[in-house]
Amino acid sequence: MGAVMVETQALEIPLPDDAHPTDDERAMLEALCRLILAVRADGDPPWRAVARRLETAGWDIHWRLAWLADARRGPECEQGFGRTLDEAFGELEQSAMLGELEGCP
Amino acid sequence: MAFAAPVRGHYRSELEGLRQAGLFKEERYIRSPQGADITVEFPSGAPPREVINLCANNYLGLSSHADVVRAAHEGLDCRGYGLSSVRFICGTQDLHRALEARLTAFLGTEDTLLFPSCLDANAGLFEAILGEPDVILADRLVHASIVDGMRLCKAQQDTYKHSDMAHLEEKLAEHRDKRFRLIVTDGVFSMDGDVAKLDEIVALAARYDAMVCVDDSHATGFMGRTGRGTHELKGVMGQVDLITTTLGKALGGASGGCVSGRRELVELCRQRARPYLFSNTVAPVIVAGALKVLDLLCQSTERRDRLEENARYWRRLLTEAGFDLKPGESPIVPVMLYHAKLAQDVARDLFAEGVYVVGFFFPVVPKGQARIRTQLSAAHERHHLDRAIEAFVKVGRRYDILGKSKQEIVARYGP
Repeated sequence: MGAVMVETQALEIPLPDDAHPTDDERAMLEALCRLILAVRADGDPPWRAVARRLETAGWDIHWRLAWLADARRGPECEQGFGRTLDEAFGELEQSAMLGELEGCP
Repeated sequence: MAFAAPVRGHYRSELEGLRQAGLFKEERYIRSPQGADITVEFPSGAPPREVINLCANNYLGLSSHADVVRAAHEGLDCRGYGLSSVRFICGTQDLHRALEARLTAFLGTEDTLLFPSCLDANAGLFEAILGEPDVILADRLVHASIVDGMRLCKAQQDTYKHSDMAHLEEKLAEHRDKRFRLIVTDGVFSMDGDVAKLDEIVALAARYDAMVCVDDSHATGFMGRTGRGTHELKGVMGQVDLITTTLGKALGGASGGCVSGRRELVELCRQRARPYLFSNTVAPVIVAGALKVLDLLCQSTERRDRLEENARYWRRLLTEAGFDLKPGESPIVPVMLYHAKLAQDVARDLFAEGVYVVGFFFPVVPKGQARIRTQLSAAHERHHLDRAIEAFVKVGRRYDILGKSKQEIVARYGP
């Protein structure tokens, strides 16, 4: 029941006609909407059950919002996470850099 | 899921893509023991022919040494073929502990742990000793298995420009807030044959309170005055915290590797390193052979001396002939051709002339840095190298690359 409620919840933010948000600004707005939905969801969303199961198994659970940056090149895929875009892209660059380290046998 | 036609088709097209990109690897079938001269069937089904081998990691020429083979036979007779177990259940024989003790003494460290390969050692080491509060700082040209090990570890990963000490120092300063810092480098870099500035790395590590780990797979047994490795060459024996190395190159060339270094770190690997915990023990026959290899190395430096002399001689022959070489002091001598197809064509023609070498190109080396990597061995006699240089000169003339600069080669063949 809770899962259905979460899936059907939606937030709409009408923007003024003269607002021309950049991609970054759109991403920020979307993240804020998702945050509100996540913390105000009614019932018992599946993620809370997962958290409880892990706590029962001895894990100390924390959660927070983060940026995810990903890069794709053909079959390759690298990702970076961070609380700021700088952190996320820094991690992405490091992962991509490791992928470049091919080396001889 | 069945291996249905669309699934098979997907994988076939992946393979075809590798062929189209010139990245498809074909095995050459060798019909002789490893050595300076080997008998090779290539392409598959062709009559076998004897060629001079300039592409093995058989640096000390011990892969088929009679004493090593005899010791391996004795190990087989005394301790059996296999142990059917991981080390910590029922896979540790007296021979394993003996070899670990001998490697510890040879490398000048505190303790050693054998792994099925050095790839396994590198894959398991970092995860066993580092965690989220730590950082690994790797040279950008380290071996692929170190990259794999870094990816398996929760520690933050960072890199520094190849052998750039100023950049390493910048990174060490940047990561001052981390709990532990581990600098990781190859001792001898397999692509270029150059040697890590280990003395400078150790000095920086002391200044910034970092640990140092060296993969000395292309150095153990012959670099340094008595062949202990890069740490001996650079005068920092006892100051490197971790050494990973292989039994699969100079030390007999069969298989197996190890982590050697600070007692507590090695013990943690024994407790936690997954390739050690979940993979079979090194076979007794290999352990017995490796013990004999160490006996030979401790009796005389004659083989590493001959290897050094061969490398110097070969480098001089190539330079005088007008080939463009990467500078270095190791037995890895890369002949730079820059262009991928040229490297493949030259390698193919050299094989036809009786010299076995392999062309390396992107993604194994950076784009525009294609080359033929020649590797010397103590098993090479002067006549091998003299015959090989004749073939190199003949093929070099054919492609008009002798005495040509990088710019001239690129202008003719493309980047």
